[in-house]
Amino acid sequence: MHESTDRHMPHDPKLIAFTRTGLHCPQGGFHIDPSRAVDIALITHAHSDHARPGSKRYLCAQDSAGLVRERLGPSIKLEAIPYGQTIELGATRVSFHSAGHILGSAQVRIEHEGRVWVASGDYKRDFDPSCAPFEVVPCDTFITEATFGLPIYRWRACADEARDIYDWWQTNARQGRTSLLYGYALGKAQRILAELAPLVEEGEGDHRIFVSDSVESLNHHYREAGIRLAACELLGRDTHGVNARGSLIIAPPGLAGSGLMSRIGSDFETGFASGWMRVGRTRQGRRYDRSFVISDHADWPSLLRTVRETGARQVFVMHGENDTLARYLSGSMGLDARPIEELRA
Amino acid sequence: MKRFIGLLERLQFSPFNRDLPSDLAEYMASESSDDIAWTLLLLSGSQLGELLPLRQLRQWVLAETQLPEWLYQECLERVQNPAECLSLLTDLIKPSAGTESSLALNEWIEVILPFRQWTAQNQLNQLKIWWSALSLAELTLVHQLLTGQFNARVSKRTIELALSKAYDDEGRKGLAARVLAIRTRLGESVPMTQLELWTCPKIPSS
Repeated sequence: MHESTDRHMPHDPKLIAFTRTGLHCPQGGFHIDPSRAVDIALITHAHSDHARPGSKRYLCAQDSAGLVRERLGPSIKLEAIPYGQTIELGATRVSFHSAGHILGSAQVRIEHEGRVWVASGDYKRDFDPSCAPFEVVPCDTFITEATFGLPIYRWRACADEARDIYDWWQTNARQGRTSLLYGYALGKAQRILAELAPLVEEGEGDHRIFVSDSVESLNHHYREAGIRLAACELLGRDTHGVNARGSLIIAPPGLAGSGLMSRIGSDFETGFASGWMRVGRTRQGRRYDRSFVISDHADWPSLLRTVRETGARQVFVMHGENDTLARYLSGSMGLDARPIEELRA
Repeated sequence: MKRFIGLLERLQFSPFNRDLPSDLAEYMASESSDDIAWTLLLLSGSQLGELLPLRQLRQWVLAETQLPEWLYQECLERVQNPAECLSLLTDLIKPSAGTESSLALNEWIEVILPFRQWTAQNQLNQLKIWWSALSLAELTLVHQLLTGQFNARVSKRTIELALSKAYDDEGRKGLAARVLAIRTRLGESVPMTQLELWTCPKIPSS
Protein backbone atom coordinates (compact mmCIF):
# COMPACT_ATOMS: atom_id res chain seq x y z
CA MET A 1 0.00 0.00 0.00
CA HIS A 2 1.36 3.34 -1.01
CA GLU A 3 1.93 5.69 1.87
CA SER A 4 2.35 9.41 1.55
CA THR A 5 3.07 11.89 4.28
CA ASP A 6 3.93 14.76 1.99
CA ARG A 7 0.80 16.86 1.55
CA HIS A 8 2.01 18.06 -1.86
CA MET A 9 3.01 14.60 -3.05
CA PRO A 10 5.79 15.76 -5.43
CA HIS A 11 6.62 12.16 -6.38
CA ASP A 12 3.02 10.97 -6.51
CA PRO A 13 1.34 12.52 -9.52
CA LYS A 14 -2.40 12.68 -9.31
CA LEU A 15 -4.39 10.09 -11.20
CA ILE A 16 -7.43 12.32 -11.07
CA ALA A 17 -7.82 16.07 -11.36
CA PHE A 18 -10.93 17.98 -10.37
CA THR A 19 -11.73 20.16 -13.37
CA ARG A 20 -14.65 22.33 -14.41
CA THR A 21 -15.84 19.33 -16.41
CA GLY A 22 -15.62 17.03 -13.40
CA LEU A 23 -13.15 14.28 -12.50
CA HIS A 24 -10.50 13.88 -15.18
CA CYS A 25 -7.84 11.19 -15.44
CA PRO A 26 -5.07 12.56 -17.69
CA GLN A 27 -3.12 9.27 -17.74
CA GLY A 28 -6.21 7.42 -18.98
CA GLY A 29 -7.62 10.19 -21.15
CA PHE A 30 -11.12 9.94 -19.70
CA HIS A 31 -13.57 11.74 -17.42
CA ILE A 32 -15.83 10.32 -14.73
CA ASP A 33 -19.43 11.59 -14.77
CA PRO A 34 -18.45 14.70 -16.76
CA SER A 35 -20.69 17.73 -16.57
CA ARG A 36 -20.09 18.51 -20.23
CA ALA A 37 -19.48 16.59 -23.44
CA VAL A 38 -16.03 14.90 -23.54
CA ASP A 39 -14.28 12.25 -25.62
CA ILE A 40 -14.52 9.39 -23.14
CA ALA A 41 -17.04 9.45 -20.27
CA LEU A 42 -17.11 6.80 -17.55
CA ILE A 43 -20.57 6.85 -15.99
CA THR A 44 -20.95 5.68 -12.39
CA HIS A 45 -24.75 5.48 -12.59
CA ALA A 46 -27.75 6.73 -14.55
CA HIS A 47 -28.96 9.62 -12.36
CA SER A 48 -29.15 12.80 -14.40
CA ASP A 49 -26.48 14.64 -12.39
CA HIS A 50 -24.00 11.88 -13.26
CA ALA A 51 -25.05 10.71 -16.74
CA ARG A 52 -25.15 13.63 -19.15
CA PRO A 53 -25.54 13.65 -22.93
CA GLY A 54 -23.15 14.68 -25.68
CA SER A 55 -19.97 12.70 -25.09
CA LYS A 56 -18.39 10.75 -27.96
CA ARG A 57 -17.87 7.48 -26.10
CA TYR A 58 -19.40 6.13 -22.90
CA LEU A 59 -18.40 3.31 -20.60
CA CYS A 60 -20.42 2.04 -17.65
CA ALA A 61 -21.03 -1.08 -15.60
CA GLN A 62 -22.95 -3.73 -17.49
CA ASP A 63 -25.92 -3.64 -15.09
CA SER A 64 -26.25 0.08 -15.72
CA ALA A 65 -26.28 -0.02 -19.52
CA GLY A 66 -30.06 -0.22 -19.96
CA LEU A 67 -30.69 2.69 -17.62
CA VAL A 68 -27.94 4.81 -19.16
CA ARG A 69 -29.43 4.25 -22.62
CA GLU A 70 -32.88 5.03 -21.24
CA ARG A 71 -31.54 8.36 -20.01
CA LEU A 72 -29.13 9.30 -22.82
CA GLY A 73 -30.83 7.69 -25.78
CA PRO A 74 -30.30 4.49 -27.76
CA SER A 75 -27.83 6.03 -30.22
CA ILE A 76 -24.99 6.77 -27.79
CA LYS A 77 -21.76 4.85 -28.25
CA LEU A 78 -21.75 2.78 -25.06
CA GLU A 79 -19.51 0.00 -23.80
CA ALA A 80 -20.93 -2.04 -20.92
CA ILE A 81 -18.28 -3.63 -18.71
CA PRO A 82 -19.07 -6.35 -16.14
CA TYR A 83 -18.22 -5.53 -12.53
CA GLY A 84 -14.60 -6.40 -11.79
CA GLN A 85 -13.46 -6.76 -15.41
CA THR A 86 -10.34 -4.74 -16.16
CA ILE A 87 -9.95 -2.73 -19.35
CA GLU A 88 -7.09 -0.55 -20.52
CA LEU A 89 -7.64 3.13 -21.14
CA GLY A 90 -4.56 5.12 -22.10
CA ALA A 91 -1.83 4.17 -19.66
CA THR A 92 -4.28 3.03 -16.98
CA ARG A 93 -6.13 -0.14 -16.07
CA VAL A 94 -9.74 0.59 -15.17
CA SER A 95 -12.56 -1.48 -13.67
CA PHE A 96 -16.07 -0.89 -12.34
CA HIS A 97 -17.12 -2.18 -8.92
CA SER A 98 -20.55 -2.21 -7.37
CA ALA A 99 -21.47 0.90 -5.36
CA GLY A 100 -24.81 -0.28 -3.95
CA HIS A 101 -26.47 3.04 -4.80
CA ILE A 102 -28.98 1.97 -7.49
CA LEU A 103 -29.11 -0.77 -10.12
CA GLY A 104 -25.79 -0.85 -11.97
CA SER A 105 -24.15 1.87 -9.90
CA ALA A 106 -20.38 1.63 -9.81
CA GLN A 107 -17.19 2.84 -8.29
CA VAL A 108 -14.34 3.37 -10.71
CA ARG A 109 -10.97 1.78 -9.89
CA ILE A 110 -7.96 3.23 -11.69
CA GLU A 111 -4.52 1.63 -11.59
CA HIS A 112 -1.42 3.30 -12.92
CA GLU A 113 2.23 2.38 -12.24
CA GLY A 114 1.33 0.40 -9.14
CA ARG A 115 -0.89 3.02 -7.60
CA VAL A 116 -4.64 2.62 -7.18
CA TRP A 117 -7.25 5.34 -6.98
CA VAL A 118 -10.94 4.67 -6.52
CA ALA A 119 -13.73 7.18 -7.21
CA SER A 120 -16.78 6.05 -5.31
CA GLY A 121 -19.55 7.82 -7.23
CA ASP A 122 -22.67 7.73 -5.06
CA TYR A 123 -22.84 4.72 -2.77
CA LYS A 124 -24.43 3.14 0.26
CA ARG A 125 -23.68 0.17 2.51
CA ASP A 126 -27.20 -0.75 3.65
CA PHE A 127 -29.09 -3.72 2.27
CA ASP A 128 -31.06 -2.96 -0.87
CA PRO A 129 -33.01 -5.71 -2.65
CA SER A 130 -32.96 -3.72 -5.90
CA CYS A 131 -29.21 -3.65 -6.56
CA ALA A 132 -25.92 -5.41 -5.90
CA PRO A 133 -24.21 -4.60 -2.59
CA PHE A 134 -21.27 -2.22 -2.27
CA GLU A 135 -17.87 -3.80 -2.86
CA VAL A 136 -14.95 -2.63 -0.74
CA VAL A 137 -12.07 -1.92 -3.14
CA PRO A 138 -8.67 -1.52 -1.45
CA CYS A 139 -6.85 1.57 -2.73
CA ASP A 140 -4.21 4.18 -2.02
CA THR A 141 -6.50 7.13 -2.67
CA PHE A 142 -10.25 7.09 -2.22
CA ILE A 143 -12.56 9.78 -3.56
CA THR A 144 -15.70 9.52 -1.48
CA GLU A 145 -19.06 11.17 -1.81
CA ALA A 146 -20.40 12.97 1.27
CA THR A 147 -24.01 13.84 0.50
CA PHE A 148 -24.97 13.01 4.08
CA GLY A 149 -21.58 13.70 5.63
CA LEU A 150 -22.81 14.87 9.02
CA PRO A 151 -23.23 12.65 12.11
CA ILE A 152 -26.91 13.57 12.39
CA TYR A 153 -27.55 11.23 9.47
CA ARG A 154 -27.92 7.60 10.40
CA TRP A 155 -30.42 5.34 8.67
CA ARG A 156 -32.86 2.82 10.10
CA ALA A 157 -33.13 -0.43 8.19
CA CYS A 158 -35.03 0.29 5.00
CA ALA A 159 -37.23 -2.75 5.64
CA ASP A 160 -38.52 -1.01 8.79
CA GLU A 161 -39.31 2.15 6.85
CA ALA A 162 -41.03 0.05 4.17
CA ARG A 163 -43.15 -1.55 6.88
CA ASP A 164 -44.14 1.95 8.03
CA ILE A 165 -45.05 2.87 4.44
CA TYR A 166 -47.15 -0.27 4.16
CA ASP A 167 -48.95 0.38 7.47
CA TRP A 168 -49.60 4.04 6.54
CA TRP A 169 -50.97 3.01 3.15
CA GLN A 170 -53.19 0.28 4.57
CA THR A 171 -54.55 2.57 7.32
CA ASN A 172 -55.44 5.11 4.66
CA ALA A 173 -56.91 2.43 2.39
CA ARG A 174 -59.27 1.21 5.10
CA GLN A 175 -60.68 4.73 5.20
CA GLY A 176 -60.98 4.92 1.44
CA ARG A 177 -58.10 7.39 1.31
CA THR A 178 -55.34 7.37 -1.30
CA SER A 179 -51.66 7.39 -0.29
CA LEU A 180 -49.47 9.49 -2.55
CA LEU A 181 -45.82 8.71 -1.93
CA TYR A 182 -43.17 10.89 -3.50
CA GLY A 183 -39.70 9.56 -4.17
CA TYR A 184 -37.10 9.83 -6.91
CA ALA A 185 -38.17 7.96 -10.04
CA LEU A 186 -34.88 6.12 -10.48
CA GLY A 187 -33.63 4.00 -7.62
CA LYS A 188 -35.80 5.15 -4.72
CA ALA A 189 -39.09 4.11 -6.32
CA GLN A 190 -37.76 0.68 -7.30
CA ARG A 191 -36.16 0.10 -3.91
CA ILE A 192 -39.50 0.81 -2.23
CA LEU A 193 -41.33 -1.44 -4.68
CA ALA A 194 -38.81 -4.22 -4.00
CA GLU A 195 -39.17 -3.78 -0.23
CA LEU A 196 -42.97 -3.76 -0.52
CA ALA A 197 -43.09 -6.92 -2.67
CA PRO A 198 -43.07 -9.45 0.21
CA LEU A 199 -45.43 -7.32 2.32
CA VAL A 200 -47.95 -7.11 -0.49
CA GLU A 201 -47.72 -10.81 -1.24
CA GLU A 202 -48.14 -11.85 2.40
CA GLY A 203 -50.68 -9.31 3.62
CA GLU A 204 -54.35 -8.77 2.91
CA GLY A 205 -56.17 -5.61 1.91
CA ASP A 206 -56.15 -3.12 -0.93
CA HIS A 207 -52.80 -3.76 -2.53
CA ARG A 208 -53.16 -1.76 -5.71
CA ILE A 209 -50.05 0.27 -6.48
CA PHE A 210 -49.89 2.85 -9.23
CA VAL A 211 -46.76 4.53 -10.53
CA SER A 212 -46.14 7.54 -12.72
CA ASP A 213 -44.85 7.33 -16.31
CA SER A 214 -41.34 8.22 -15.20
CA VAL A 215 -41.24 5.38 -12.64
CA GLU A 216 -42.78 2.80 -14.97
CA SER A 217 -40.33 3.60 -17.77
CA LEU A 218 -37.48 2.57 -15.46
CA ASN A 219 -39.15 -0.38 -13.71
CA HIS A 220 -38.75 -2.77 -16.61
CA HIS A 221 -34.96 -2.42 -16.47
CA TYR A 222 -35.11 -3.70 -12.91
CA ARG A 223 -37.43 -6.56 -13.81
CA GLU A 224 -35.15 -7.51 -16.71
CA ALA A 225 -32.27 -7.62 -14.22
CA GLY A 226 -34.26 -10.13 -12.16
CA ILE A 227 -35.26 -7.71 -9.39
CA ARG A 228 -38.61 -8.62 -7.82
CA LEU A 229 -40.78 -5.50 -7.65
CA ALA A 230 -44.28 -5.31 -6.20
CA ALA A 231 -46.90 -5.47 -8.96
CA CYS A 232 -47.96 -2.00 -10.06
CA GLU A 233 -50.01 -0.31 -12.74
CA LEU A 234 -49.38 2.85 -14.71
CA LEU A 235 -51.19 6.01 -13.70
CA GLY A 236 -49.76 8.22 -16.34
CA ARG A 237 -50.60 11.31 -18.27
CA ASP A 238 -52.70 9.31 -20.72
CA THR A 239 -54.37 7.01 -18.22
CA HIS A 240 -58.07 7.72 -17.89
CA GLY A 241 -60.96 6.19 -15.99
CA VAL A 242 -58.82 4.61 -13.28
CA ASN A 243 -60.19 4.55 -9.76
CA ALA A 244 -57.10 4.95 -7.61
CA ARG A 245 -59.03 5.53 -4.37
CA GLY A 246 -57.40 3.62 -1.52
CA SER A 247 -54.32 2.73 -3.53
CA LEU A 248 -50.66 3.63 -3.13
CA ILE A 249 -49.31 5.95 -5.81
CA ILE A 250 -45.55 6.33 -6.22
CA ALA A 251 -44.39 9.35 -8.17
CA PRO A 252 -41.40 11.74 -8.25
CA PRO A 253 -41.68 14.95 -6.22
CA GLY A 254 -41.93 17.02 -9.40
CA LEU A 255 -45.44 15.71 -9.94
CA ALA A 256 -46.84 17.52 -6.90
CA GLY A 257 -49.49 19.88 -8.21
CA SER A 258 -49.53 18.29 -11.67
CA GLY A 259 -52.45 16.81 -13.55
CA LEU A 260 -51.93 13.56 -11.67
CA MET A 261 -53.19 15.22 -8.51
CA SER A 262 -56.47 16.19 -10.09
CA ARG A 263 -57.32 12.59 -10.93
CA ILE A 264 -57.02 11.06 -7.48
CA GLY A 265 -59.77 13.02 -5.78
CA SER A 266 -59.51 15.17 -2.71
CA ASP A 267 -59.15 12.52 -0.02
CA PHE A 268 -55.48 11.60 0.02
CA GLU A 269 -52.41 11.86 2.20
CA THR A 270 -48.93 12.66 0.98
CA GLY A 271 -45.64 11.09 2.01
CA PHE A 272 -42.05 11.65 1.00
CA ALA A 273 -39.21 9.15 1.08
CA SER A 274 -35.83 10.83 1.48
CA GLY A 275 -32.86 10.89 3.80
CA TRP A 276 -33.27 14.66 4.12
CA MET A 277 -36.51 14.09 6.02
CA ARG A 278 -34.59 12.94 9.06
CA VAL A 279 -34.34 16.55 10.25
CA GLY A 280 -37.45 18.26 11.64
CA ARG A 281 -36.60 21.57 10.01
CA THR A 282 -36.72 19.89 6.59
CA ARG A 283 -40.00 18.15 7.38
CA GLN A 284 -41.39 21.48 8.51
CA GLY A 285 -40.36 23.12 5.26
CA ARG A 286 -41.59 20.36 2.94
CA ARG A 287 -44.98 19.76 4.57
CA TYR A 288 -45.93 16.17 3.83
CA ASP A 289 -48.34 14.15 5.96
CA ARG A 290 -45.70 11.49 6.49
CA SER A 291 -41.95 11.31 6.09
CA PHE A 292 -39.99 8.13 5.50
CA VAL A 293 -36.26 8.40 6.00
CA ILE A 294 -34.93 6.30 3.14
CA SER A 295 -31.72 7.21 1.37
CA ASP A 296 -29.62 5.59 -1.32
CA HIS A 297 -26.52 7.36 -0.02
CA ALA A 298 -24.16 6.33 2.76
CA ASP A 299 -25.00 7.66 6.19
CA TRP A 300 -22.30 9.01 8.53
CA PRO A 301 -21.30 5.66 10.09
CA SER A 302 -21.15 4.07 6.63
CA LEU A 303 -18.95 6.86 5.27
CA LEU A 304 -16.43 6.41 8.09
CA ARG A 305 -16.55 2.63 7.86
CA THR A 306 -16.02 2.67 4.11
CA VAL A 307 -13.09 5.04 4.21
CA ARG A 308 -11.52 2.84 6.89
CA GLU A 309 -12.15 -0.41 5.02
CA THR A 310 -10.61 0.77 1.75
CA GLY A 311 -7.32 1.17 3.60
CA ALA A 312 -6.76 4.45 1.74
CA ARG A 313 -4.18 6.77 3.24
CA GLN A 314 -5.38 9.66 1.19
CA VAL A 315 -9.01 10.67 0.86
CA PHE A 316 -10.77 13.34 -1.18
CA VAL A 317 -14.33 14.30 -0.38
CA MET A 318 -16.98 15.48 -2.84
CA HIS A 319 -20.73 15.77 -3.50
CA GLY A 320 -21.78 17.34 -0.21
CA GLU A 321 -20.15 17.99 3.13
CA ASN A 322 -16.68 18.16 1.62
CA ASP A 323 -14.98 20.37 4.20
CA THR A 324 -16.73 18.85 7.22
CA LEU A 325 -16.05 15.21 6.46
CA ALA A 326 -12.48 15.93 5.35
CA ARG A 327 -11.81 17.82 8.56
CA TYR A 328 -13.20 14.98 10.68
CA LEU A 329 -11.26 12.28 8.79
CA SER A 330 -8.08 14.30 9.26
CA GLY A 331 -8.55 15.43 12.83
CA SER A 332 -10.22 12.39 14.38
CA MET A 333 -9.11 9.49 12.17
CA GLY A 334 -5.60 10.65 11.33
CA LEU A 335 -6.06 10.40 7.56
CA ASP A 336 -4.74 12.68 4.86
CA ALA A 337 -8.20 13.87 3.88
CA ARG A 338 -9.13 16.96 1.89
CA PRO A 339 -12.05 18.44 0.03
CA ILE A 340 -12.09 17.61 -3.66
CA GLU A 341 -11.39 21.24 -4.51
CA GLU A 342 -7.74 20.57 -3.57
CA LEU A 343 -7.53 18.25 -6.58
CA ARG A 344 -8.21 21.17 -8.86
CA ALA A 345 -6.04 21.06 -11.96
CA MET B 1 -46.61 9.30 24.63
CA LYS B 2 -46.70 7.73 21.17
CA ARG B 3 -50.02 9.46 20.39
CA PHE B 4 -48.73 12.80 21.62
CA ILE B 5 -45.72 12.47 19.34
CA GLY B 6 -48.03 11.56 16.46
CA LEU B 7 -50.06 14.68 17.21
CA LEU B 8 -46.92 16.82 17.28
CA GLU B 9 -45.84 15.46 13.89
CA ARG B 10 -49.26 16.27 12.52
CA LEU B 11 -49.36 19.77 13.98
CA GLN B 12 -45.82 20.74 12.99
CA PHE B 13 -45.16 19.04 9.68
CA SER B 14 -48.37 18.21 7.79
CA PRO B 15 -49.59 20.28 4.82
CA PHE B 16 -50.98 23.67 5.71
CA ASN B 17 -54.47 22.78 4.51
CA ARG B 18 -54.98 20.01 7.05
CA ASP B 19 -57.77 20.38 9.61
CA LEU B 20 -55.68 20.74 12.76
CA PRO B 21 -58.58 21.52 15.11
CA SER B 22 -60.21 18.22 14.11
CA ASP B 23 -56.92 16.36 14.62
CA LEU B 24 -56.57 17.92 18.05
CA ALA B 25 -60.21 17.18 18.91
CA GLU B 26 -59.79 13.58 17.80
CA TYR B 27 -56.74 13.28 20.05
CA MET B 28 -58.73 14.74 22.95
CA ALA B 29 -61.50 12.21 22.41
CA SER B 30 -59.21 9.27 23.05
CA GLU B 31 -56.67 10.44 25.62
CA SER B 32 -56.93 10.73 29.40
CA SER B 33 -57.85 14.11 30.84
CA ASP B 34 -54.40 14.34 32.46
CA ASP B 35 -52.72 13.87 29.08
CA ILE B 36 -55.04 16.39 27.46
CA ALA B 37 -54.37 18.96 30.19
CA TRP B 38 -50.63 18.55 29.75
CA THR B 39 -50.97 18.66 25.98
CA LEU B 40 -52.84 21.96 26.09
CA LEU B 41 -50.39 23.46 28.55
CA LEU B 42 -47.40 22.52 26.39
CA LEU B 43 -48.97 23.53 23.08
CA SER B 44 -49.96 26.91 24.49
CA GLY B 45 -46.41 27.78 25.48
CA SER B 46 -45.81 26.38 28.96
CA GLN B 47 -42.46 24.83 29.81
CA LEU B 48 -41.47 22.57 32.65
CA GLY B 49 -38.60 24.91 33.36
CA GLU B 50 -34.93 24.19 32.80
CA LEU B 51 -34.62 20.82 34.52
CA LEU B 52 -31.25 20.25 32.87
CA PRO B 53 -29.12 23.02 31.34
CA LEU B 54 -28.69 22.57 27.61
CA ARG B 55 -24.93 23.07 27.90
CA GLN B 56 -24.74 20.16 30.36
CA LEU B 57 -26.74 17.91 28.04
CA ARG B 58 -24.50 18.93 25.13
CA GLN B 59 -21.37 18.22 27.13
CA TRP B 60 -22.57 14.75 28.08
CA VAL B 61 -23.71 13.87 24.57
CA LEU B 62 -20.43 14.98 23.02
CA ALA B 63 -18.46 13.03 25.63
CA GLU B 64 -20.54 9.91 25.00
CA THR B 65 -20.39 10.17 21.20
CA GLN B 66 -16.77 11.39 21.18
CA LEU B 67 -17.66 14.07 18.67
CA PRO B 68 -15.80 17.39 18.68
CA GLU B 69 -17.58 20.63 19.53
CA TRP B 70 -16.98 22.11 16.06
CA LEU B 71 -18.80 19.17 14.47
CA TYR B 72 -21.75 19.67 16.81
CA GLN B 73 -21.90 23.29 15.64
CA GLU B 74 -21.91 22.16 12.00
CA CYS B 75 -24.80 19.83 12.76
CA LEU B 76 -26.68 22.46 14.71
CA GLU B 77 -26.47 24.80 11.75
CA ARG B 78 -28.34 22.20 9.73
CA VAL B 79 -30.85 21.14 12.41
CA GLN B 80 -31.36 24.53 14.13
CA ASN B 81 -32.97 22.90 17.16
CA PRO B 82 -30.35 21.98 19.83
CA ALA B 83 -32.46 19.37 21.65
CA GLU B 84 -33.26 17.61 18.38
CA CYS B 85 -29.66 17.89 17.21
CA LEU B 86 -28.43 16.15 20.37
CA SER B 87 -31.03 13.41 19.92
CA LEU B 88 -29.87 12.82 16.36
CA LEU B 89 -26.27 12.55 17.56
CA THR B 90 -27.06 10.05 20.32
CA ASP B 91 -28.46 7.82 17.58
CA LEU B 92 -24.82 7.11 16.73
CA ILE B 93 -24.35 5.19 19.98
CA LYS B 94 -27.74 3.50 19.96
CA PRO B 95 -27.52 -0.26 19.43
CA SER B 96 -30.84 -0.38 17.57
CA ALA B 97 -33.53 2.03 16.39
CA GLY B 98 -35.10 2.19 19.86
CA THR B 99 -38.70 1.59 20.79
CA GLU B 100 -41.67 3.69 21.72
CA SER B 101 -42.19 3.87 25.45
CA SER B 102 -45.49 2.55 26.79
CA LEU B 103 -45.75 5.44 29.25
CA ALA B 104 -48.46 8.05 28.73
CA LEU B 105 -47.49 11.72 28.37
CA ASN B 106 -48.47 12.60 31.95
CA GLU B 107 -46.52 9.59 33.26
CA TRP B 108 -43.46 10.70 31.34
CA ILE B 109 -43.71 14.17 32.80
CA GLU B 110 -43.95 12.69 36.29
CA VAL B 111 -40.66 10.90 35.56
CA ILE B 112 -39.01 14.03 34.20
CA LEU B 113 -40.17 16.66 36.68
CA PRO B 114 -37.91 15.67 39.62
CA PHE B 115 -34.87 15.45 37.31
CA ARG B 116 -33.35 18.68 38.62
CA GLN B 117 -33.13 17.25 42.14
CA TRP B 118 -31.11 14.21 41.10
CA THR B 119 -27.35 13.99 41.45
CA ALA B 120 -25.39 14.61 38.26
CA GLN B 121 -24.32 10.97 38.19
CA ASN B 122 -27.91 9.77 38.44
CA GLN B 123 -28.96 12.21 35.75
CA LEU B 124 -26.27 10.93 33.41
CA ASN B 125 -27.06 7.29 34.15
CA GLN B 126 -30.73 7.87 33.37
CA LEU B 127 -29.91 9.75 30.17
CA LYS B 128 -27.72 6.89 28.97
CA ILE B 129 -30.64 4.51 29.42
CA TRP B 130 -32.93 6.80 27.46
CA TRP B 131 -30.31 7.33 24.74
CA SER B 132 -30.04 3.62 24.15
CA ALA B 133 -33.71 2.74 24.48
CA LEU B 134 -35.98 5.49 23.18
CA SER B 135 -37.03 6.18 19.63
CA LEU B 136 -35.64 9.31 18.02
CA ALA B 137 -38.92 11.24 18.22
CA GLU B 138 -39.43 10.33 21.84
CA LEU B 139 -35.89 11.21 22.82
CA THR B 140 -36.16 14.56 21.07
CA LEU B 141 -39.27 15.34 23.09
CA VAL B 142 -37.58 14.27 26.34
CA HIS B 143 -34.55 16.45 25.53
CA GLN B 144 -36.83 19.39 24.76
CA LEU B 145 -38.83 19.02 27.96
CA LEU B 146 -35.71 18.61 30.10
CA THR B 147 -33.98 21.67 28.71
CA GLY B 148 -37.02 23.92 28.50
CA GLN B 149 -36.72 23.94 24.69
CA PHE B 150 -40.11 22.48 23.81
CA ASN B 151 -41.26 24.73 20.99
CA ALA B 152 -44.30 23.20 19.29
CA ARG B 153 -47.15 25.68 19.35
CA VAL B 154 -50.65 25.86 18.02
CA SER B 155 -52.72 28.97 17.75
CA LYS B 156 -55.27 30.01 20.35
CA ARG B 157 -57.88 29.71 17.61
CA THR B 158 -56.95 26.08 16.88
CA ILE B 159 -57.25 25.19 20.56
CA GLU B 160 -60.57 26.98 20.86
CA LEU B 161 -62.00 25.16 17.84
CA ALA B 162 -60.72 21.82 19.07
CA LEU B 163 -62.19 22.37 22.52
CA SER B 164 -65.55 23.30 21.05
CA LYS B 165 -65.53 20.12 18.95
CA ALA B 166 -64.48 17.83 21.78
CA TYR B 167 -66.22 19.24 24.87
CA ASP B 168 -69.49 20.57 26.13
CA ASP B 169 -69.52 23.17 28.95
CA GLU B 170 -69.31 20.56 31.67
CA GLY B 171 -66.42 18.88 29.95
CA ARG B 172 -64.56 22.18 29.69
CA LYS B 173 -64.98 22.78 33.38
CA GLY B 174 -63.62 19.34 34.15
CA LEU B 175 -60.61 19.95 31.92
CA ALA B 176 -60.03 23.36 33.48
CA ALA B 177 -60.01 21.74 36.91
CA ARG B 178 -57.33 19.32 35.73
CA VAL B 179 -55.23 22.13 34.33
CA LEU B 180 -55.50 24.11 37.54
CA ALA B 181 -54.72 21.05 39.64
CA ILE B 182 -51.51 20.51 37.70
CA ARG B 183 -50.55 24.15 38.05
CA THR B 184 -51.31 24.24 41.73
CA ARG B 185 -49.22 21.15 42.36
CA LEU B 186 -46.31 22.53 40.36
CA GLY B 187 -46.39 25.99 41.89
CA GLU B 188 -44.22 28.32 39.86
CA SER B 189 -42.63 25.70 37.70
CA VAL B 190 -45.33 26.10 35.04
CA PRO B 191 -45.79 29.71 33.96
CA MET B 192 -49.22 31.27 33.68
CA THR B 193 -51.07 30.82 30.44
CA GLN B 194 -54.40 31.91 29.12
CA LEU B 195 -55.56 28.34 29.04
CA GLU B 196 -57.98 28.68 31.93
CA LEU B 197 -59.79 31.46 30.14
CA TRP B 198 -60.33 29.24 27.11
CA THR B 199 -61.43 26.22 29.04
CA CYS B 200 -63.57 27.83 31.74
CA PRO B 201 -64.10 31.59 31.59
CA LYS B 202 -65.51 31.68 35.11
CA ILE B 203 -62.21 30.68 36.69
CA PRO B 204 -59.88 33.66 37.08
CA SER B 205 -56.53 33.42 35.31
CA SER B 206 -54.43 34.53 38.30
